[in-house]
Amino acid sequence: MIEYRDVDKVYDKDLKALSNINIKIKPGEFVSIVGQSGTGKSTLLKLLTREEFPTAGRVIFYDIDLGELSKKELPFHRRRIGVIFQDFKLLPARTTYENVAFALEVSGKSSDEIKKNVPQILDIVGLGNKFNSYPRELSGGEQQRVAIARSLVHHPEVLIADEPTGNLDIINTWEIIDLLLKINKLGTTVVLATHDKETVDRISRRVIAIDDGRVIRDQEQGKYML
Amino acid sequence: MDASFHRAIKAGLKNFVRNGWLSIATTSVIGLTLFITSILLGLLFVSSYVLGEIQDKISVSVYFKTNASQEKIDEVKKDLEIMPEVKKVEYTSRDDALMMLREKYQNNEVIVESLREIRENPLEASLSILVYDPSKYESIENKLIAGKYKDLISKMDYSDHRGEIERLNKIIKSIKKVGFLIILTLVAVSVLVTFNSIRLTMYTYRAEVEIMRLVGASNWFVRLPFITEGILYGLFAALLVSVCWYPLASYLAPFFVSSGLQLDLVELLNQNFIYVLGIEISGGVLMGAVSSFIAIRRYLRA
Repeated sequence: MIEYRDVDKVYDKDLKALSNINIKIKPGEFVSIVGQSGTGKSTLLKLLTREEFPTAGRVIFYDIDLGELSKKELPFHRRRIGVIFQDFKLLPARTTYENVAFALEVSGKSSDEIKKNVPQILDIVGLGNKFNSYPRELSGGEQQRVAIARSLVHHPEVLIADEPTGNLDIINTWEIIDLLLKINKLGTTVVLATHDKETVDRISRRVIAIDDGRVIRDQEQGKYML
Repeated sequence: MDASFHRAIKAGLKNFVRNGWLSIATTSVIGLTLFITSILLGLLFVSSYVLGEIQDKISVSVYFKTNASQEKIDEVKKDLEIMPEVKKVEYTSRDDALMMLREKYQNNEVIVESLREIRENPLEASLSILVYDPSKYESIENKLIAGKYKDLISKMDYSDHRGEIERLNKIIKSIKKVGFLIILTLVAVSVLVTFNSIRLTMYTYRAEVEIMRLVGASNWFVRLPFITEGILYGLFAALLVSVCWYPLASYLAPFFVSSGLQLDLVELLNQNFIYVLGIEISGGVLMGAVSSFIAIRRYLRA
């Protein structure tokens, strides 16, 4: 269970990114967070990965108050979350295989585990034949799939997707969204932030609309409405 | 941890190879730093060696009156030898002095003829005194001339060299002082340049560091590849510079020989190569590793 309790986030004195956020996300849910650019979607997600601290309130991740995580515990917390971004954030000097393997290397998994898991997950995202390609040799859709494979390879409880289709054409967008739905079906909680109306309407799951740092609507099986 | 450690090192090696040009550039900067530092240290070494040689050639001679007895002269010699500032005292008897004079001027008819004419040995016995520190000659002179031996001594030829000795003394001191200052300044400048070039390298990695941390890499896991890379820069720079020493030494060696110095640079390098290599490597590796460590730190906050 993920829970935002009375969360405020203020960057500068006048720049209030989030105010009075109260959200509960149950395990296995697929939640779309919608809103225009600059309304605080990314900040909301960054609180989960503990890239940001709330100015007030608490963020609870499976019974852990993220505000109380120590520097040492932080890497372990991040291994429980998979993250994908609009700009993919792949390591340019590493191949597809190495990019995905990296997430496992980081968590100290054995070489045998890596050799078993990485090809499997790359098959799942449909990149079984691109092991040795570098990111620059892949299309946008393929790069995002590498990122998804990387975020999933250590079986995180939650997958956070921050505008994952922002750089993709329609066909690739559908493919990525389908992949996210499939991942959710397999049990992973998915939190998707987007401002793409068509995508959200098609998914037809819970939608939380944010405007100016506040939750303005929270609907099961919602549509993109602001 | 073991597997992670191994992987981090491997990643560092890979980075080094993959970022070919960046690696070469950074290695060159460290190499230049090492080279400049080593050249300066070498210069300081050679100049102190040369000055030492010159110092050794400057000695002061005390001449004894012809009626001074051998015992008395021996006593003076012993007294001098126990003085802590005295390095060496050499005795030249009247006969030896004459022999040397004859040998030196054996082709000079006039001198040979006049010596034969005089019959008696006109030369005085002498002690040639070598001290550790040329500034001490004066105090020795004072002791001898003012002390109990003043009746034995006919003259000291310190006075003749006084100017040169004092000047040399000043030169030695200022070379040491200025040399060290220059070295310190240049080393500081080079270390800063090295640090900055590694910082630029790390800057190009900032996105990577962000990703590493997002997928849950511990700070040490992020750091190790970069420190490995820094160490590699230093290592290669050190090897490169060490290899350059031989051609340089062979090139410079003839100049030393022709200027009459007993200093075989190549031989000297042969004997000390292990040390030179060790110092270069430790310097380079330390510089690379520390710079990387500090440079990557700013991307590891939060």
